[in-house]
Amino acid sequence: MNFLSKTSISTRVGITMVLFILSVSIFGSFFAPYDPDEFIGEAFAVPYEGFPFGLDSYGRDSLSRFLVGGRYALMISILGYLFGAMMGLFLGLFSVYSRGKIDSTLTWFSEVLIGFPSLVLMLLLVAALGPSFWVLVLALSTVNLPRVFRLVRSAAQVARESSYVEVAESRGEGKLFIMFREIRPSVMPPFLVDAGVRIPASILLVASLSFLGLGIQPPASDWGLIISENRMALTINPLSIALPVLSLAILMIGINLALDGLQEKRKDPIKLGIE
Amino acid sequence: MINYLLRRIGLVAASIGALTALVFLATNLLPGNPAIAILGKDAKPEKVLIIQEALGLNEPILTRYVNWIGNALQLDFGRSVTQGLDGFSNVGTLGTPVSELIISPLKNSAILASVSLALLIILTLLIGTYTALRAGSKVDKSIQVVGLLFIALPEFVLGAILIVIFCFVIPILPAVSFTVTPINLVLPVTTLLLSMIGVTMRLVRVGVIEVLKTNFVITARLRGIPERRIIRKYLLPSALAPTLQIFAIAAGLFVGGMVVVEYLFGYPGIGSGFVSAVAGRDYPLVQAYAIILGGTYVIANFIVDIIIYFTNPKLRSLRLS
Repeated sequence: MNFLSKTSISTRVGITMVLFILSVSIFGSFFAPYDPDEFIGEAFAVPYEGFPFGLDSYGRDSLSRFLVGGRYALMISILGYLFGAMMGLFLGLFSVYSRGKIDSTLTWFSEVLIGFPSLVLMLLLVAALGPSFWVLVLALSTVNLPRVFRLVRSAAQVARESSYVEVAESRGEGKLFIMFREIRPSVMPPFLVDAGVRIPASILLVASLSFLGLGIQPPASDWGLIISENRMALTINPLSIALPVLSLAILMIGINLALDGLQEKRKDPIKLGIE
Repeated sequence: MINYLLRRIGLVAASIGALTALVFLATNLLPGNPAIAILGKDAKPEKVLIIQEALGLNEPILTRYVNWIGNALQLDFGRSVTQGLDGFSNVGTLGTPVSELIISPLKNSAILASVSLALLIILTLLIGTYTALRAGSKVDKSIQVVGLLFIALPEFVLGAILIVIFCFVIPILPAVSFTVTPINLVLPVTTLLLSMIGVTMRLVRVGVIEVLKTNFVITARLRGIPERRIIRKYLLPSALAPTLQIFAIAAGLFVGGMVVVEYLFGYPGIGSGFVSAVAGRDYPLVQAYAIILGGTYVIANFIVDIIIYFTNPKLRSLRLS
């Protein structure tokens, strides 16, 4: 871990927090003491022996449901980001390479999609296609694609006009070669910084959708869903949401700390993406 | 100037046109027949035909889109397929007109949004300017850390924490807001405010620091003009445009935040209405809510752009594409 030694304390703390939550979400299910779908007792039972966090809205073990509930949201967020970002990267490069009408049409489409608030767009797609794992991935990709496209497009403009691209063209290189070998490298630094902002934003969106009951569907367990299912009884057994709330908080704060630390190292800190 | 305004209005019209097309497509290119979705799988074929006729599903899609837009312009968004149905006896008839259903949620959301926005703007300007003037101090640093915390937390996590604190640990506030009363607004507004202010105050702080570095502020200070006067006469006017820009950017966040916050507290607004319409697959309602939410965002951006244009003379000479 050589690169870590050069980073600030806040970055290291942040990365540790993120890794901790990631391992809880991946390996948590192996430690669940009960079947997360088993009805054990009265709904919203306060903690008692063997059930340190009490029971949830259906009388299931809160701890077990928490331990299995971290996987899907993270998988959807990462897949949704990757698909959207890859398409955005490809179309962005293609658009800049093609110039002219193709460029302006694609840009217009991306502006229309960006004109929609992210959460509303995702809800609309879920309304149309019904909530399922791949629909959520698709919806998240649709949110990420035009934003990554816009970033790639503006970052690639200079390279497109550069003399080395001109040389490559006159050498008779193919379209894909010029797009990926000649133009893409100059796009990568902002693309990666953007990834650091867009992945946590994606996690947030997926968690929010689950919370709204339109993401991961019950009886499957998910942190956002746990908070949603128990929200009307927070005054009876607040511990039922303690673990998902803490984990989401630690995860998001960890990501932000890590990014903040990394950005301080840069000479030109990149603005926080908040769309 | 008129050129700029016209072009900007054209852009807004285009965006809203595209928005309606997107909403229409998303709610019409569904797998499966909406009539069957409404009636259930065991519906009699005759009933399905009646509903298809009533919804105009037999027409070609372009005709339907044009009809739909024409009706929407007259504020007729069709009839709900889940609400106002007359029990089982009349399965297959259509429910309450959407335009009636959305009036009171619209009013409620307007209250929530305007109270939150007003407080957000005031607090952002106060805290943003204060921290910028004392950049690097202990107060500034601790405010930045707290701000980062609020940026990081999702609205529903923040809201859940507030509910536990103010309804369980110190039970002084209601945990749900089914009706619109001042006391019921406290927690939704606070949640919305806290989830936004981390972002906005940070950006205002950066904007004000930029202005502090400009020559005219430095000169004013050298001339011995009192600090208060500098802030009021020099700093705030030039920090206004970037601040407005920030609120335009934050509008998308704000719309998403409203949806989540309304749902969390059971607040009867368009956000929670939209979520339950999506969950109930009530397409006419989904269309209306999506257009209202998306349209508000587009128009908010437009208004901010216009205000910036009029408050910042520099922009007037620029050629805007």
